[in-house]
Amino acid sequence: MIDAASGHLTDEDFTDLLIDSSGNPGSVSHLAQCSHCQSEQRIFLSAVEDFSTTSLAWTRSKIATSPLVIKKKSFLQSLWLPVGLAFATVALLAVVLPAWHDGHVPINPAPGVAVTSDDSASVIAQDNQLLESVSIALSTEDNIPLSEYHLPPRQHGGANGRMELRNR
Amino acid sequence: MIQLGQEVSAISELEDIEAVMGLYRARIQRYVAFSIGDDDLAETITQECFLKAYRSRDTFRGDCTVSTWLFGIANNLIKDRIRRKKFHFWRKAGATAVDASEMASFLPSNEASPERRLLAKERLEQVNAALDTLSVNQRKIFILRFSEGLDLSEISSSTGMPVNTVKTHLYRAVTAVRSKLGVTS
Repeated sequence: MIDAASGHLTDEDFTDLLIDSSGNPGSVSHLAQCSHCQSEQRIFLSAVEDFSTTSLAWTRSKIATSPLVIKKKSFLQSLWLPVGLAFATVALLAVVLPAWHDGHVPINPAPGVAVTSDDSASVIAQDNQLLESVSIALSTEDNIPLSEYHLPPRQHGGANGRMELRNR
Repeated sequence: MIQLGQEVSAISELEDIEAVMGLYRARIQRYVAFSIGDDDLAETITQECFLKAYRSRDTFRGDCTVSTWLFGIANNLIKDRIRRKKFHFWRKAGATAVDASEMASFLPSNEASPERRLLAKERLEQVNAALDTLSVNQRKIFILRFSEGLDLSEISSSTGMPVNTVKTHLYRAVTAVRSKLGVTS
């Protein structure tokens, strides 16, 4: 419908035309021959087109500068979490269980090494005997090795004697 | 309705999610960013959108284009955000709102004179300012119609709104933008 006062499309018709270009045939035919309405349409469409182009370029620039974090990867990575936890649990058990086991169960001897209570008693007896002989040897008063050099008996000069020797 | 060959092509296309993202990510993110007015949240929603699309790719029947289907998923995510009130928190924070003057630096450089560029910048800011005054639904529909070039039935299908509701929202949005541009009768 044409506005009687202005001779151009009404706001409603104009908006209808912008929303759906195949709208009212009367509006379409008026637009085809009215330069004023064409100009209005051009202003709107060029502004919207600039907005679309610019906003898309702006969004692309945002995407280019932001790290490409694809959730799909995070999802796949999340699949590794249970596996990782399982490995960590196994590793923890491998450390903790032997330690716990040591505290509760006597250590088994290594294969081929037969440790019996008799053997350990005889070894202990041998060790004791050896230690005893060493102790005896250390406690025996042997001749002082210096006597073998036949040195004169030591004079008890005390500090003065040492001073005399030093002053010479 | 697309043909069987196209449908199979579209479904197999969805298998390569990174290629799909390469094709549609900017459009989806732009759509979400200007619908909700938050750049950072738009990035999160966009990534959720592609993840959801990948997980539910078997449900894509091919009775619409991939982009319409993706816009539909993005719409549902936006609705979820609004329902869970998270959106309001982010809106109040307002730290990452879309910056119109920053966006103006991406204007096409084919404007002949500085005056033309200045006019284009001014109109860009006017459109952006007009969108700010609209509701989320009005903005969504405006962008789908004028930036994505979807027709009314496609918008209806991706937003889940009846065509008449789409028309009503679009009417208000166009009126607001025309008013800002100063081209009302």
